[in-house]
Amino acid sequence: MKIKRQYIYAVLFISVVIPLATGLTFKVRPGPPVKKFYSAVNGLNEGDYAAVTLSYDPSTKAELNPMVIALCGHLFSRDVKIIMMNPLNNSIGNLGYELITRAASLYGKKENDDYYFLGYVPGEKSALQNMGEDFYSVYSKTFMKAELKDLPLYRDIKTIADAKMLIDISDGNSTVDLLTYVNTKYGVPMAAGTTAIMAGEYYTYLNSGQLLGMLGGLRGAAEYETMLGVNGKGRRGMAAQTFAHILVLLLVLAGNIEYFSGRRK
Amino acid sequence: MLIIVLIGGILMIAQYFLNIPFLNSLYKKILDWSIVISIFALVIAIRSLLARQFKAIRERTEHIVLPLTTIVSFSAVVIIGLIWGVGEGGFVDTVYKKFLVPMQAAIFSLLAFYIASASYRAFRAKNFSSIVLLAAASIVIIGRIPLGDALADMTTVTLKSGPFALIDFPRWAEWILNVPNVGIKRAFAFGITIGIVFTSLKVIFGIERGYLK
Amino acid sequence: MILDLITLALIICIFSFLFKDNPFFKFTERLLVGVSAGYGFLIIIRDGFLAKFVDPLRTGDLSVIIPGLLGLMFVFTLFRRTAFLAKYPLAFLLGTGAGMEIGPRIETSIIKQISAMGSHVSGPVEIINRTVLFISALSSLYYFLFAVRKNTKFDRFFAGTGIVFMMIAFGATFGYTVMSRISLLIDIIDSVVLRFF
Repeated sequence: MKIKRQYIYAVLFISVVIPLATGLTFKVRPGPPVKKFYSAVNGLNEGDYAAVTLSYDPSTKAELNPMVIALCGHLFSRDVKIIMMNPLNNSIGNLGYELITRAASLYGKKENDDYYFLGYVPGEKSALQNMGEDFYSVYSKTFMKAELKDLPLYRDIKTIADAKMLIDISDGNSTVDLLTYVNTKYGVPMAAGTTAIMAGEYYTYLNSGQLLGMLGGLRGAAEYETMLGVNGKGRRGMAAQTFAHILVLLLVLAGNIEYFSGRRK
Repeated sequence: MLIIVLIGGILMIAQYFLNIPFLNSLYKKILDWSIVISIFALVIAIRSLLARQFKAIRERTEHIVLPLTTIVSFSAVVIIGLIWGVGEGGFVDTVYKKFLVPMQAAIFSLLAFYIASASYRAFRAKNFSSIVLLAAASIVIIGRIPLGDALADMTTVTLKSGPFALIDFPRWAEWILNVPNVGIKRAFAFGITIGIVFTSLKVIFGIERGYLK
Repeated sequence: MILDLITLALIICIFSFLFKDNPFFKFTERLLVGVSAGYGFLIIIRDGFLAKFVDPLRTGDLSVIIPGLLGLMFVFTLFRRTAFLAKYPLAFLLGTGAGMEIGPRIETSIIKQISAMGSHVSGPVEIINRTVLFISALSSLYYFLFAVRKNTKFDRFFAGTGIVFMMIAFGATFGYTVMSRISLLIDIIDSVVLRFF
């Protein structure tokens, strides 16, 4: 007997809706990549600058927004200044600005003093490399069109190498580009947050120490939230994730049972 | 044209490996230039988007409303955004947050349904390789959800060396990702990088000329 | 609130694709293509063309004129007879880009990766792990490099080992893919659908 695909869709929908609607939560235990990420960020001191690049489309915000929110909270709580920008993706600007503004209001941080949102700049790889030569030949204004020359950032940061750390939140290969052009070439320490799909790729850079830490997928965000002691969308989604994963495993099992019983006949 | 590519390429390779002031300032200049030049490359992208829509209207390959929708929504966002800006609360910001972001997320979320139905239809333990693949996948699938943590907590026994979980999916998943996965991905990274480097060299020395066509 | 209802209605249009392709889905999809391209274009005009080309000109910075003229040659692609002129800026970007790529790529993804495999390890577990990592990398490379020549028993055995390790890695990737996809669904249900109940 074959299961109709519409039934599969319906059961999957229900298995996600019920845990979310009931607000069920499960405990997650942080794994090594997230612990490393946490302690790398914890190593930053008050007044240090951390550069955060958003290199994802809104389509993968499910996994990455919770990371950005948690990361901003972590950095702000340690009084680290944030330079947020999206030089490798032109479709995340307004969303990124909203996320950092919301996080800043929770911690009473001021725009263009405690944090800067610089938005998009064309040029991709040339822009990344140019940041290592002269930051202001790449960015001259913030996303909201404030002149950078008039802001405290201008005094503290000359090139990207003046940032103590670069954290890339991405849904594609951008972390490798940033490792190539910013970490290798200009020596800025890097950590990354990425979708689960890409996490497998980045383990090799984590293993070699080129990445100081990594958040992988919604689970990574949930682990990070656990370490920070905050409740965010990552932890909230883990119950639904559990049920849906079990469903997928059951479907694989059902498919195999059907296949082998069909072959025996 | 090939001369531009050749000289530009060789100078930039030299810049990375040698520390010559002249090359460094040239490098800086080229970076500045590249940013400005690349802005104009968007002409090509927009041309192909609009050309496809107009072609569809001309040749009536689909209902006229569809290409018109794309053209109108595209122009509306660009024009309104240029006049009134993209700041918080404006038209573009509202369209972006209430429409663009949730729609993109919704289209991608369809993939969840497809992967569920694909796991039912496609993943068969037919031979040794597929059994290995399924086993690794299952370990990661369980190891990345709280159920894996709970199983580990339940089966923890105390040994001389400390607590030890008998069924520890999270740790097994971490091992798979950190050891065999890294080996394979590293080998792939070598392959890809060598590919990139040789393609770059082919472009520089004019062996690869596809872009000239 | 009305806006939220429109959002919900459009999401239902998208989900209707699960049952059958239909005009509502097609319309929503085309609207999305227009809006996303429009937004991307707008940002490139605003933060690219205006900020990096027009503003400098206005403040009397003439250094952008030459690259600007080179860039303007892309406009020639719009006409068939002059399209070849657009190859000049392309040649400039490609040549210098390719040159800049080589050094840092080799260092990031080959030299640093190889030296990571030779770094110091201590304890029996780490030594075993490092050995497995090394064999998996080597055997999969062997599988690809010597795919043509599988004569000796050793060739077949070692390339076979490569396949097994690759299956483990692909399995892990598949597991992670499942996780990613499910997360996307969780988010859309959490942030849009459940807001109405």
